[in-house]
Amino acid sequence: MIGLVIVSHSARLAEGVCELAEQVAQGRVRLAAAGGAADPEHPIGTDAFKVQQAIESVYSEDGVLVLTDLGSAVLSAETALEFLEEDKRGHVKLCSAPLVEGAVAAASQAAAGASMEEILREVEAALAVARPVAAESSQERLVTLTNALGLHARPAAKLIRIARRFQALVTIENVTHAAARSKPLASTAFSAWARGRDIDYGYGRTDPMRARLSRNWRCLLRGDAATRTNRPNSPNSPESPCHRPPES
Amino acid sequence: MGNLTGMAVRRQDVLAWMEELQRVYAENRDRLTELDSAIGDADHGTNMDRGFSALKTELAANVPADIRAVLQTVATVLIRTVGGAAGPLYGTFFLRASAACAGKPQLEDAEIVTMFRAGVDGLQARGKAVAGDKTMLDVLLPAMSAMGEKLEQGGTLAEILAAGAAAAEKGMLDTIPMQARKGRASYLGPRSIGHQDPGATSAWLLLKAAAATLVSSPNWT
Repeated sequence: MIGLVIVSHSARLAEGVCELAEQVAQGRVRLAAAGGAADPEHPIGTDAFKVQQAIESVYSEDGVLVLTDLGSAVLSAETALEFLEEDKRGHVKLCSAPLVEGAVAAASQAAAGASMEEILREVEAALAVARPVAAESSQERLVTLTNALGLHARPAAKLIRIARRFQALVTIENVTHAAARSKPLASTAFSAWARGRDIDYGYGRTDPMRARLSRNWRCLLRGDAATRTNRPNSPNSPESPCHRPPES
Repeated sequence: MGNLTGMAVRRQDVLAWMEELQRVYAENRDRLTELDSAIGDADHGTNMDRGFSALKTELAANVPADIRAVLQTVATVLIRTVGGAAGPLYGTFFLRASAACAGKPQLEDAEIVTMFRAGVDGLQARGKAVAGDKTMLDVLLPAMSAMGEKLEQGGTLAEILAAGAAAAEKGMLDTIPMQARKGRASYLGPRSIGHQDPGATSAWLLLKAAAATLVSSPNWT
C-alpha cells in the first residue's frame, strides 16, 4: 500500500491535510502527518526526525510519497532521507506539488491503485499548465452537471477510480467558465463544479471502453449516486458507481 | 611521559568550541534576528540561540564518547530544535563533519580541514546554493579555500583557522551588495541588495569561534 507523508511547519496543518486526503484515501492509502518542530514552546517549524518517523510508519515497498509545504520543509524532508536505511530510500519520493491539491490528487490516485510513478506523473501534471487534448486522437462529449453539490471532492475521487479502469487519458473542462483550462482528471478533485454547469470531456482508445466509461461517467455526473456512494453507511454498494441500472 | 608524536585536536577542544558557540549565538541573538528581519522572517537569532542552548543542556547531561559522537549529537539537536532552514543546513554540516571523524580519537590539522570540508560539502548539497547566492556558502566556500591554502603552506592549526575566519568575515561583508537567489530573501529580489545575510553572519560566527577554541595540543603516546 502506498504511503503518503504530509510535511508542514504547522502540526495542525499537516493533520488537517491528512484529514482531507483521508476523505479520498478510504483506507486504501497509509497517511502520516509530520508537522511542527520538536520544541513545544516554538512549535512552528519542521523536524527531519519527525519526517523520518512518519515515513517509517507508512513505509512499504510500494513506495512513500512525501509532500511538503514551504522552503525548509523540503530541506527537512531531504535530511530525513539521509536517516533512512539505504534500501528504503529508493522507495521514497519527494514532491513539491501544492500541499492540499497534491495530497488529495495523490491520495485519489493511490486509492485507485496507481503506482508511485503514475502518482508522481499525475501530481506533477496537476501542477503544470495542462495541455489541451489533441483533437484527432480523442473524442469529446458535452455533459451537464445536475448534481446539486456539483462535482466535489468525493465524487471526483470516485470518477478518478472509474476512469483508471480504462486505458484512456481523460480530461475535463468547464466550458461555462471561459478561463478554465482543460485539466487532467486528478486535478479536478478539488475544483468546485456548480450545478448546471456544462462540462466537456474527451477520451481516446477503443469503443467498448469508451461506452463503459461514458455510461459510468454520465451516471456519476447526473446522479445523487455520486454523493452517496462514498458514505460508509450507504445502502448502495460502495463499489458500484451507479446504484441504478446503467443506461443502455 | 611517552613520546611526542605531533599535535592533535581532542574531544575536549571540540566541546569547548560548542560551548563557545552557545555563548556567541546567545550574545548575537538580537543582531542575527535584526539582520533576518530585514530580508527574512526575523527568527534566525532566536533559532540559533535555541538550538545551541538545547545543545548545552544535552551535552551537560550526556558527554558523547568521542569527537564523532559529539558532532553527531550537535547535528541531532540542531535538526530537532533550530527550525527554519538553518536546522537542516547546520544539522547536515555537523552530520557530515562527524562522519569524517569516524574512528579517530583525535584529529590532526589536515583532518580538521577535511572535517570542515566534509561539512561544507554536505551543507552545499543540501541547500543547493552556489557562490554569489547571498547565503552561508558565501562565507563557508572562501573560508574552505583559505584554510586549504594555509594547510598546504604548512601553517599551524591556529594559522589555518585564523585564515578561515578572516576569509569568512570578508565573505560575510561581501554578501551586502549581493541579490539573494536562495531562501526566503530571494522573494525580495533586488530589495535584498544592501543587507548583510543573516545565515552568512552565523556561519562567520561558527568559524570565528572555531579559531578561538580549537587548539592543537601536544599528542603524547
